[in-house]
Amino acid sequence: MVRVPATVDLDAVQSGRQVMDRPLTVTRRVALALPALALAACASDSSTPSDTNASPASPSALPSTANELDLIAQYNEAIAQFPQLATILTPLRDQHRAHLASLGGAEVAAPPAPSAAPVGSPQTAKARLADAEKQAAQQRLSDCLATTDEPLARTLALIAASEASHVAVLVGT
Amino acid sequence: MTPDEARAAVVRGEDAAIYAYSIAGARVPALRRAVSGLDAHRAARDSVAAMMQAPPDPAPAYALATEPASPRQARELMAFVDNGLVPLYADLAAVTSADERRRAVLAAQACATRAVSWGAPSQAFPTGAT
Repeated sequence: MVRVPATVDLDAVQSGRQVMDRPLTVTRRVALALPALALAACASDSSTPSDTNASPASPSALPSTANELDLIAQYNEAIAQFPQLATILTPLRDQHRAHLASLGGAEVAAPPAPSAAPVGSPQTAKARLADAEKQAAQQRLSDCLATTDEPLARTLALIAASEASHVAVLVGT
Repeated sequence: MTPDEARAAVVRGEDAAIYAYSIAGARVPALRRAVSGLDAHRAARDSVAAMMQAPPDPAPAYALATEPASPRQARELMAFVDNGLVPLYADLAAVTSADERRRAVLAAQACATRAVSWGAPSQAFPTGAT
């Protein structure tokens, strides 16, 4: 039998917080009990990206940073147009904010949400976001392959995984 | 972390996932999805082990504090092992390059996607400890 520690430490990104003048770097040290189902290999003692406190965006992070900003804007627009999607879309948007922060990016003052009439239906809005997430997941993979910065490569791999999972959320709901 | 250390962690994680899927997969109605996930974990394990001179052997058994009795517990276990593999693959991606890094990222994406398909919420930085 392989024994594993009952708890792991990890830093949770405190996401969804708007920061105007500096990267979002707040981390919270929490000790979380592993669920009762403890499996050996699943406790990674590696740090999460937020551990490192986002350094100033490295040049190789810039394409990803720009794309994260664009995704946040697309989610904001969809939430403004279809408030009934907020329950599904807000957590996904906030995860993109956490991605942005981990890459050393920060949102500038958000422009007011467009008040234009909704375009299409909630279903088409979700389908558009799913397409955007697919492209983002692919781009994060490309960005990861392009960097020689190991911590950045690790962060981009995690973001690539997160964004791939967003597609499943959007398609499955 | 050396590439072989990262590979060994992934192989051990995949062995644990294969064990978990073997037990939990039989307890969910979505049997086809469970079998497909089990196949994916086996293939991923072999792919990473093939990069090593001496890959670690599977443990005879893994500590399951609770046997997954209900379909819900079975889904949670599979989501847990899938999400738990993501940071291990991210570690592997960090210390490798080119095609091995690409395969590590694709595996991380597949694991995080499967976890969501089992009902787990998506995470900004997927991990098994939620």
